[in-house]
Amino acid sequence: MQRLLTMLFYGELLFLFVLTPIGIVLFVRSTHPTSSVIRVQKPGEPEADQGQQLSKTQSPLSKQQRNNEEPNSWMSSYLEINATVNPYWRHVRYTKWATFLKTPLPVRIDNTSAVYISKAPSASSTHHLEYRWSSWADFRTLPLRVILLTIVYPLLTIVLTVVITYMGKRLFDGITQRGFFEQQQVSRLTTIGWLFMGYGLSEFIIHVLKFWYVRTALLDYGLVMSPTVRLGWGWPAGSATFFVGAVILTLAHVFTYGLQLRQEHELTI
Amino acid sequence: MPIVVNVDVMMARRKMSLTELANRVGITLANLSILKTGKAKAIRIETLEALCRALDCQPGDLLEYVETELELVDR
Repeated sequence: MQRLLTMLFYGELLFLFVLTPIGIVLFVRSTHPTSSVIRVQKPGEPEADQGQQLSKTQSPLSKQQRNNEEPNSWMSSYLEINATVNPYWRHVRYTKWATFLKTPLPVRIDNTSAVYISKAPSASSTHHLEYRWSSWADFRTLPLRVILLTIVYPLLTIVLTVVITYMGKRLFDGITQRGFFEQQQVSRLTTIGWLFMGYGLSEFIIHVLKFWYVRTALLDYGLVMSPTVRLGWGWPAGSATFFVGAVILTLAHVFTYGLQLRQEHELTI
Repeated sequence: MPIVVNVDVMMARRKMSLTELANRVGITLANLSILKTGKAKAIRIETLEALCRALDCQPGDLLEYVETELELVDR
C-alpha cells in the first residue's frame, strides 16, 4: 500500500507538472479549424462537419415538427444538463461513454440560430450536453465564467488528488514507523477527512454554478424549450466524496479516543 | 495536579535507591521515574500495595492532597 501510494504520488506529480503543461501548450498552439457549434449527436447520426453553421432563421427542427409536439403536462421530461466543455482530442473516448450512459437529444444547438429543444425521448431521461472545442480561439468564444469553471474544476481535482495522495503516503509511512495510535497519524487522518469533505463540497458548488452559467449562456444563444422539458442540474457523482470525508472524520474521532486510551494505559503505573 | 507523590521523600527516609525500589516493587525504572515526577495518570492498587510493603509505610505517606491556588480562590 505504501509503495502503491508512493508510485501514485509521483505519477500524479508527473501528470500535473509535466504532462498537463505540455498538453496545454500543444493545444493552445494547435491550428484546428474553429467551430462554435454546440450540438448533441443523435444515435447513429454521422459526425457533422466542424464549423457547420445554421442560418439565423433556420431552426434545428422544422415548423411541422414543432407543431406536432403538444405540450403534455403529465409526461414532462427532465433534462439534466451535465454541461461539459471538452477539448476535441478527448472527444472520441468521451462520446463512447456518453452514448452508453445517456440518451442523446434530438436537437442541434447553434449560436447563430434559434435553439429548440423538443421533448426528450423518455420522461426523466438524462442528457449530456457537450460543447466540443477544437482550438483555443474556439474555447475563448465561451462566456468567461464557463471558461473559468472549466479550468478550475480539473485543476482543483488534480491538486486535491495530489495533496490527498501525499497525505495518505505520509500517513502510511507514519503507521509503519510509529504505529497508528500517534497524534501525528490522527492529525493526518483528520486532514485527509477535511480534504475529502472540501473536495465534495467544492465539486457540488462548481457543478451548480456551471449548470447555472451554461443555462444562462444557452438562453443567450437563443435556447427555446418545449414546455414538456424541465431543466435540472442533477447531482454530481464526485460530491459523494463529501460523505467519504465524513466517514474518515468519524474514524479519526474513534482513533483520537484510542490514542487517549493508549496514553492513559501507558501512564498507569 | 493537587495530588503530590512523596515517593522520593520516603525513599530518602528509608535510604533506598531508585533501582533497589524498582527491583523490590517489580516495576521498571522508567515507570518508577514517571511516578516520582508526578507524570503518572493513575496508579494500580497492587503497585501501591507493593510500594507500601517495600517502603514500610501507609498509602497516605506516599500520596498527599495539596490545594492549588485556583481551588483556594474558588472557595
